[in-house]
Amino acid sequence: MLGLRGTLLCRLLPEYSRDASGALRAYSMYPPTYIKPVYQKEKLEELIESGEAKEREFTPVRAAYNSHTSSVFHDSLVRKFTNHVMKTGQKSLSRELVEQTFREIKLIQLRKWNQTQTPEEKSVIECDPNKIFHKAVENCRPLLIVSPIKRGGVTYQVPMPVTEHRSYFESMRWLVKAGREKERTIHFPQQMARELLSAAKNEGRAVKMKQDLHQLCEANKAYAHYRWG
Amino acid sequence: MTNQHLLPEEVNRRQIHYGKFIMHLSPLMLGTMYRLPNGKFRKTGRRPSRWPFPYNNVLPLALRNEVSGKGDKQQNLACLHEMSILFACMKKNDFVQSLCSKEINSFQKCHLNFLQAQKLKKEQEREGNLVPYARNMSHRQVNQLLKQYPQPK
Amino acid sequence: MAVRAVAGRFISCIHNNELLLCHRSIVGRTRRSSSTQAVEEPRPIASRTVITNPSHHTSDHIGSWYTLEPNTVKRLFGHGGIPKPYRTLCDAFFESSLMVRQPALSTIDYIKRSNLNLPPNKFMLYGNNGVGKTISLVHITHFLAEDGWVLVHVPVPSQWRRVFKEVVPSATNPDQYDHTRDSVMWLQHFRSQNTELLKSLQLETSEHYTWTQREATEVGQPLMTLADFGISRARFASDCVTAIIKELKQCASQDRCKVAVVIDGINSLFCPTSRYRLEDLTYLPPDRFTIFRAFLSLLQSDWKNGVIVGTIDKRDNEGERRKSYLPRYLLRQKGWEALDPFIPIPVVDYDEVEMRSAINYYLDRGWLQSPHSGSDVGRKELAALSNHNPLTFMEICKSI
Repeated sequence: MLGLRGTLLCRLLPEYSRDASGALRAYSMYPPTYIKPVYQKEKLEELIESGEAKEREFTPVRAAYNSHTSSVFHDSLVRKFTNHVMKTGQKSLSRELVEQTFREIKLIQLRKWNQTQTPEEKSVIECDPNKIFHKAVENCRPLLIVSPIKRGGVTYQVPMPVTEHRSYFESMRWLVKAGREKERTIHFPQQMARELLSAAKNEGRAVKMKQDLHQLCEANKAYAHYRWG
Repeated sequence: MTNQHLLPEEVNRRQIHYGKFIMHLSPLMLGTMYRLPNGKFRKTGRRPSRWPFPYNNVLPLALRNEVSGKGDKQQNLACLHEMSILFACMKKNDFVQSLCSKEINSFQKCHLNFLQAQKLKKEQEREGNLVPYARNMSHRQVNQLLKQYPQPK
Repeated sequence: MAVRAVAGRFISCIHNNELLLCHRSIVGRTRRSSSTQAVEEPRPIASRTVITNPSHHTSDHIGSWYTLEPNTVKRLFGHGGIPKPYRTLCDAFFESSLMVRQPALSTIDYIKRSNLNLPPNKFMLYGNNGVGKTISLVHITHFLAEDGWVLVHVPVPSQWRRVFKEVVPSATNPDQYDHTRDSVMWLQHFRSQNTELLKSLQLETSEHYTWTQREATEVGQPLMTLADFGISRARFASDCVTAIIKELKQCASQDRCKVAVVIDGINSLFCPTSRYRLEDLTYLPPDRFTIFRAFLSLLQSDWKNGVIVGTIDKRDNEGERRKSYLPRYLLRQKGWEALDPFIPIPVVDYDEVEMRSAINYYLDRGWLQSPHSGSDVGRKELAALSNHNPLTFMEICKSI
């Protein structure tokens, strides 16, 4: 029903369009004929090579977001994390905080790295804050989550598998939460850097939160068949 | 309360025949309507307030030319077996994920398959195309078939 | 008049050096083949110079890095002088390195060629925020220390105006106000920089200083006793600073030593207000601070065997007067007259060679970790993002 209605509406009214997943988006600024912009240099080259650029030549394109960048230092997961850190839309502040966090990570690791003499010891120490961050996020991703489901007047916490998207969300949420639990005298970037470093080593509070959730899932495994579509 | 002292025949008389259907004039009090299974009244010193309700055929005794989509709802209970294996492994290894990588992989693979299958099914449903010799059909497909070949009158 | 003539000669030198600089930047080095893909190449090695004595640095070393000895850093800049962000980096790198740059080289060259029998030459480094004035000053200070100058180094005079620890009415002069703890900290800085030199020079006090009925400094005591006394008696620390400066000027005029005055943010001395409030809620003008008067007396032309090196910095002015970085604007009429004549030395952003060298140094020390940062595209992006400004470059590198 929705599909038919959506297609009709899309044709009739420009403010209805479909997003990537095929769901209807009411009051979108663009009609569904508009395609999303490609702003990465490599992808543009790919498009030109594959000949798809020729097809797109006369297709109208949506405007790019101001967070879209073709910088070689850009990382989409870091940008996502910046949005997690952000409060009340203060993006420049949150970006500054994330950058400070990376600086702290580098300072901590470089002190170790420059102190060691032999190349073997140096190769063990990871100094790239981006890699440490990715590892930390990966380590905090849960396998399962619990969802409250009401059966016979009782709400059960029912374990269920988690989608990839949701697992990244939970992971970064826990990391930011762990970074914010600190003494008043410690700055957020310092605490965040410590948390990321320990999460990269599979330790720390964010990883603990994930393990707690796994244990809860295990304890509630009897309710697993209550799962509901 | 008006037909409290009426006999069954009288009750029937107070029903209005409207086409094939029968309408009642007053709301039914189901708790006091029937006799006991032994055919007698309750020994409360009272008669039942109402006589049993006679059969009436509200809907015609024929199949419709459509089905509702209720039975088609997703059964979201996939991967229970994999989950239990995973739980067993996790409990054995004190929730260290690296020791259960095999179980985790199989669980995630199962879930991914399930999600893909679900997505595919949804897409097919949305399209509503008929698949020849399909054993299981969505309500949309069934409806399409029923539209082509309606129930004989 | 003689000083003016000297200054004129120096200015013509500046033009020559700038030409040299342009020539270098055009010739540059050949770029590597461009590659958009991140390749795990071996880390480039920073171009360094083994010459650690700044007096031997020549224009051939421009853009290369030289390392200060840890002991030297502790002795000369242990109580301030190197900005904190830079110091943090040095700590992480386990070395304190500076890039050899033109402004410092020019200044060192001019100092070497100065006629010390005339009143002290004044060299003022100026430039926009973050171009490396203070780091150049560190380089020059190192040269002066190696060259046997008695250092009168003021790292952050604007602190005494803005974020002073404690200000009290002077014990000796009712018109003046003393910084107690700040003066003690400066005396410690002075002592740490000059102890060894003053021992060999054997400078002595020429006056009898009476502090209280019991405490006094006799004639003929080593000069460091004044500093020691000031450190132990914070109440008289500001007066000790005045006394030391007076003695040093006298000694220099008698050819017994040569004195280098190094002031970072010299325009701070000529600001009209401080943040210290009097009882009638008016803000105290900084020239009523005892230590400000002492250092201002060094800027007069009534002594010889000296040199004055300073930076003129936007950030040392108060907020409403930071629109331009040019000396006349930042110094105001008062400072302009007090420093006249001085030799302006512009400090500018990195050129291509220096930019490349800075990126190489950061890669060498592991401060740039992204696999793209060594590539040609990455270098171009870093140069464009930082606009070749050293401080901005340091800022943008913090998360890369």
